[in-house]
Amino acid sequence: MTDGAQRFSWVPLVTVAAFGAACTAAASAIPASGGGARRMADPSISLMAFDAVWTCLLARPGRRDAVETLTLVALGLPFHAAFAGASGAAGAHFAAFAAIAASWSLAALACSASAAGAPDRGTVAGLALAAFGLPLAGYAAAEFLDVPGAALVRASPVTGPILLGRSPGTAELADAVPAVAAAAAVAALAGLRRARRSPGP
Amino acid sequence: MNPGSRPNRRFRAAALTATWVVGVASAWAAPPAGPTEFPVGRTARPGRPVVVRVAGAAAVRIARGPWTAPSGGRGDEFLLPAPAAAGGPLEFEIRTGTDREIESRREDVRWLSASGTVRAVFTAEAARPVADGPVTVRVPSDGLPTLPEAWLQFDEVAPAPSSVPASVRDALDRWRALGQPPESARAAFQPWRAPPDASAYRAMDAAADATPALARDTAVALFLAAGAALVVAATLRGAAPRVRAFAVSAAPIAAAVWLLVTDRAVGESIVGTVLRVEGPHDVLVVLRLEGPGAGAAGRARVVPPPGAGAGAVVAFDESDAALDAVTLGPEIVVELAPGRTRLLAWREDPDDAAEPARSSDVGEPASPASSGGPTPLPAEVTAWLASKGLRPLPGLERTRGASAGPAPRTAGIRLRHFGAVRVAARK
Repeated sequence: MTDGAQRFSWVPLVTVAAFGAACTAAASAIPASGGGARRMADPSISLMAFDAVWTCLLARPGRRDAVETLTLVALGLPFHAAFAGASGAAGAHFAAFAAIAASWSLAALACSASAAGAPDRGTVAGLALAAFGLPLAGYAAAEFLDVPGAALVRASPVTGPILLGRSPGTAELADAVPAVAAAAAVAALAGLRRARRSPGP
Repeated sequence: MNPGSRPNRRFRAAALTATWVVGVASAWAAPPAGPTEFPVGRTARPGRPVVVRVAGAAAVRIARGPWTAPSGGRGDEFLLPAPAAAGGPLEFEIRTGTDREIESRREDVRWLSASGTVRAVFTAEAARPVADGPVTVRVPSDGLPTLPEAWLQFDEVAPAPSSVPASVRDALDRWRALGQPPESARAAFQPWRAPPDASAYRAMDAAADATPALARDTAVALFLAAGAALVVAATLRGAAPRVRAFAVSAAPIAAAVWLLVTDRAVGESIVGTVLRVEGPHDVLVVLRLEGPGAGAAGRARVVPPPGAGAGAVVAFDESDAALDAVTLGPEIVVELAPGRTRLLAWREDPDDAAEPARSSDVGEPASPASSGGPTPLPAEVTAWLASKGLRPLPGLERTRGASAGPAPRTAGIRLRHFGAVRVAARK
């Protein structure tokens, strides 16, 4: 399948736009007096929720090209900027999140490029493992082995942006290192599988 | 001979020379401040501001009060909040240059009664005190202050002689427009005459809790971006991918650029909440600054909008010990430790405010439909207004949005707008 029109998926775009609007409604509402309802109006909640969904959609497995990825980035940009600004995010937060989103986007594009013909189950599994396996591994390491597992949680495209958004004012660029490393590993895996599949000279 | 004694002597000599050079350089860079001059006479009144001139001073304060930078038409007037209680000489602290060296002075003043009427007459005019009439104070005819708030020490001021400069005459005209004498309900709108007010802090805490985190214009921009993307997604399904990508991205990119250009995406560590109290003749603007949640202290800068009165700081109580972290003046600078709050306030003319404020005459509530509709006030805000002799107008308790009135220029602050409360005097 080489037709770009067929590879342009609308579902992620509509999801980002609709979820961004929902988070905007939550952050611009007058805070309720109750505890939980009041917390929902905190812009850092909108920031964490939106960034997690946005990054997941950027890192999702499947075939697509750079145009679609850039469109998704452009669509989410104002929401992230507004929520982060309202949360008091420092410049380091913006830089760290940009590094996370860019590395996972590139990893997803690398996986997409490796999927010639049938869907590449290996890279899909690698992305799924990074998204959901790493946080579980981090939790298990902290809970059962008494080993700090925050780096594993930060490495996931699902939970990494959530941890980053919890303290946007004191975030550091180093917070993005686990996610960048995990994305690089997934991209390398995709590259290896592509090299193995490609016919020799 | 003690080994190393010669190098030690050399080191000591070099250190002494360096100290002497630094000392001479400091003295050269920051000449001592001049004498303390009182442009309206050596008088003070409890709870009323005091104005002084100190040549060469970078900042002046009355002990335990906020620092004040020079302001006024000549740029050499220091407007200082006076102590709430009368008694004894005023203890000044004067900062010169940038070396942070502070000089302390005690200046004898004549304390005027907090109550009653105090009338100022110019030295050229014959003062004729009348039994049971106002207390009369003679003020000089030259070197008079150009800040309207500098005249708040008085309740009446005699007509100025013709020799008074236009800037002083203008200040007196603006002072008269503030609505004297002190029994006037308009005194509630004058922050330079407000005593320490813990209830104002409670009210603004409640207002900050009830203020949306995302400004209305930001939310509108985001809704527009999302809506445009969804409409394009629904209508351009058959277009070429690059065309669709451009069409979908256009509105979000425009919104992102607008957020960046207008500093709405800048995450400052200090949160500011603005409340406007709009009366028929005056507007009181209260700005609550909340320090960073954690980490180092933050620094905020605020410049009230053109035409507004001088910005004042609201003390929490008589023993408020953190006022030295505030520097008042044309630009207000506040250093805020994590978790601390500070209230600033200034007065504005209703003419400076937006349309809703002009249409809020007492007893004639304007339609709030255009400004987002009224929402109930927190009880703490209502109680604070009542303590100032004000009541919110029925049906106009609060209108949301940043559109109510001109915004101050700020730096280092994430500004949020609680909205405007239209009030009338309590009957």
